[in-house]
Amino acid sequence: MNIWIVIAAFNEAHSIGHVLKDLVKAGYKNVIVVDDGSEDDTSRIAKQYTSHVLNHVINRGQGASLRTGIDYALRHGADIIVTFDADGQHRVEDIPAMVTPVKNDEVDIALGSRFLKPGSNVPFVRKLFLKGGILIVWLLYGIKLTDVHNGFRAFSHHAAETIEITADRMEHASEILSEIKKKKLRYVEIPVIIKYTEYSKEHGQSSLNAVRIFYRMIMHKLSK
Amino acid sequence: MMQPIQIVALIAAVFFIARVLVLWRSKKINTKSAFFWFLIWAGVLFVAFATPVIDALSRPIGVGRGIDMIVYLSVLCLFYMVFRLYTKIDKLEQEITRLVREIALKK
Repeated sequence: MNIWIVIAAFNEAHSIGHVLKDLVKAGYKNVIVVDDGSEDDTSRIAKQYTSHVLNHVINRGQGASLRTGIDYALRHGADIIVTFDADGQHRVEDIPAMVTPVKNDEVDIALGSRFLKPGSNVPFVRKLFLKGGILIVWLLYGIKLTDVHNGFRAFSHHAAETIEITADRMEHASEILSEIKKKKLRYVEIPVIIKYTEYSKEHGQSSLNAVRIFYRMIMHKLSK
Repeated sequence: MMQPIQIVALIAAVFFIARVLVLWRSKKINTKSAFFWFLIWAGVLFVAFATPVIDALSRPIGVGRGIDMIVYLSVLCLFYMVFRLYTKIDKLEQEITRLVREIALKK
């Protein structure tokens, strides 16, 4: 099975090296880094670990970067595509559990969930907003999940080809879920552990941003 | 006797219509948009001076004062325009993303 890892990175020079080192050490050879117009050394560092570094000439957001990486992986004949965070929140050890159900053709897409097993020290405010997101996704798309804005996913070739990501920024996370529903893809949630470090908390989404994401989600849906 | 607000409306309308004319004659805007802006300001004048007509039009639809109806309609128009703009920008953004992606994949 040809497994490709896609990482969207925007100004992640601080962490991208560690993340890539862990992936390479674990034996993942096909790692794509999409440098989303970073102003720091993200690209230069990434190139030390992988030859698949793509550059967005200007910043287009995480959704856009993942789509670029997924397109690249598909063109290179990927069987399974895993999206992974650049800030060190995800654990390489969790990848096999994510990939297995897709590999066995039990599902088309595996979604990581930080609420299915203990170990993720999710900050309280973050938890509140995530739970709100879960409710909104349930109401808008009719999919009941335990976690909705988790960037850890494994797609089959078919799922990666079928799902259309048109939202450039963080709304893509909800868009993927709506696509799963619309295209009737089989999915499963896999427990993963999210490591909240001071760095990732600073670098990730601010909770207030959730309001903006919700607003854009609605507008994006309306304007399609 | 003209009300102060009518004087303000008159001055504003005359000033902007003059601006539109100047821009149109120097070909900075095309005839279509010149006509559009002319209509807008002519409309302002109509609303300011033909108050009884507006009042008569608004009463049957349940709005007491003509000027209230104008405000309601304006808000609706503005909302619609904002939505149109949003849609356009969203489309533009998607096109930019497609370009950026193609450049990234070509290299």
